[in-house]
Amino acid sequence: MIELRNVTKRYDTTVAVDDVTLTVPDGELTILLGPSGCGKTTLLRTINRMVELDAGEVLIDGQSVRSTPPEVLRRHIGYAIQSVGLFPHMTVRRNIGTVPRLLGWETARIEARVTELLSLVGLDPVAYADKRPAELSGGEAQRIGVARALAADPPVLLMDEPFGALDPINRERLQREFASLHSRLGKTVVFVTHDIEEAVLLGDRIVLMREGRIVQTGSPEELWRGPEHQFVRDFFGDEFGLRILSRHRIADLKPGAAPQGASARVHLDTNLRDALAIMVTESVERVSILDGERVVGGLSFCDIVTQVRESL
Amino acid sequence: MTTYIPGIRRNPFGVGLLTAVLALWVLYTPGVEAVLRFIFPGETRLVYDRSPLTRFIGEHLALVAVGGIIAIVLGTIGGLIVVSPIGRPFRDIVLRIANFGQSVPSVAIMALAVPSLGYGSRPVLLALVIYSILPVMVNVVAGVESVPRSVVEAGRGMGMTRTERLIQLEMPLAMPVIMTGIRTMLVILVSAATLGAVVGAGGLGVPIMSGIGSFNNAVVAYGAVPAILLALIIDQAL
Repeated sequence: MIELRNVTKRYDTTVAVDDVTLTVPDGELTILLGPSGCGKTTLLRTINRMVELDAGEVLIDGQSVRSTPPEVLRRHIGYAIQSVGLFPHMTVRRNIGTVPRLLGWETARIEARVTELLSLVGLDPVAYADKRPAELSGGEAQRIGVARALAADPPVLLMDEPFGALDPINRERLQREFASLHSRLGKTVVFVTHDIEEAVLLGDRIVLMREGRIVQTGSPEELWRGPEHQFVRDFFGDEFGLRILSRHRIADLKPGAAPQGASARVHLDTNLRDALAIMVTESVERVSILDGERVVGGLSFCDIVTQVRESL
Repeated sequence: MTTYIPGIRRNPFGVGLLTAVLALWVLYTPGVEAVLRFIFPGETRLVYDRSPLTRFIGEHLALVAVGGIIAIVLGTIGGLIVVSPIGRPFRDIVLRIANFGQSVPSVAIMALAVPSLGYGSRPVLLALVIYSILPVMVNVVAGVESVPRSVVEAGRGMGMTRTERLIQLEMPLAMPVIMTGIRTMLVILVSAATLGAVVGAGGLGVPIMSGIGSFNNAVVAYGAVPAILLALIIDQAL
């Protein structure tokens, strides 16, 4: 658990982070979201002491981060940034092995870990271990960046717009992969972004910030159902509901009766936003739900609109 | 992002060929005489015969090596100090002083140093070092400052200390730029070291000065050609 208590950081005359108190629960993916200049990156960097506080304190598992020298602290916290920052003169192998090397692991152990991590992020270890960053595509480099952050198996991962530099298609693919990776690994992740879509897709919790302060904290559904300020409503915009739909699968709703006759078919695992898109594309109000090859029910336009607010 | 290609040699064949020509020039005097006789048919004295060329090239290499190593060590230390957090306020003034050092003629430094250091290699080394610190230092500064910020920040975020970042990230990434500075500096040193003959430090300047003194271009070429070859070899090899 990461606790930020009354954290304040000033730069000259501007207050970047203004008396922020926040608890990040273990195993959750917490998104720091807000317009640029809202202090989200600064707040993130107070956790691994890349930014030193002017007031307040940061605790990880009850222990103040100030009780550990910054270098030692950082070796036990994963860190991935937007520009990736892969070391261009080192092979992928050495890049991923950076923190284990700093921690003094044996070569064989590092080697095994590198192989394991490359597989984990979906890259062939044999083909990629000896490449240099210049030989990688943007998406590959970003995967290596994530693998490198995970190298020493840190319980906490800090990510600063890690997918920000990618094209939309690669970004979405990496986001989905990362979401599944997170659900498997159960790391505590603090993730900075200004991309609403990304925040709603990935976040267990969203911390919406403005001008160095937290505006509202909650799950995407909570922020959608109960915005406490006009700013929340304005920031997420009219598409917020659609984005919430993409977080949920048809299987999350109560199935209705299967439509009579021929109709468009969608799989149980399809997310509701895609299901809605299929209805629009096919000009139908109702689709059949498939589990494997078997029709198990139906889903209507009204089901989505009415159930989504109550049951999700 | 800069792409770092380690250990690239521009032309290994060229280096071999130049070295072979240099070795022949230094070791096979009858051949050199034949060449010089062909180019300067009017000269009766073709080579400097009071001492073998091996001695002069040995002295020359020693001047360049010692001066170069001192300049590399001092220039690198100086460069690293002014890019460190402690030295950064002095960055501009130090570079300006080093620039001034390069603008003072080497011969003047040698002449001024002779009264205190005496004749021989010491005033020459002083002049060479003062002259060549700048290219080394400027390139250390430029090299380290050219390392992408995201790389250094990533290293910091992963728990590298300042020294680890310097040794594992900044220095290797700055190396191509630093090597350019060292190459330039050594090429300059090879030609500047010929002036050592003026204050009795020996080197390839001895036959050159002798040739100039006796209006004998063959003897000037006898000492100048190996100096040119040496400069070309260093430029190609590094």
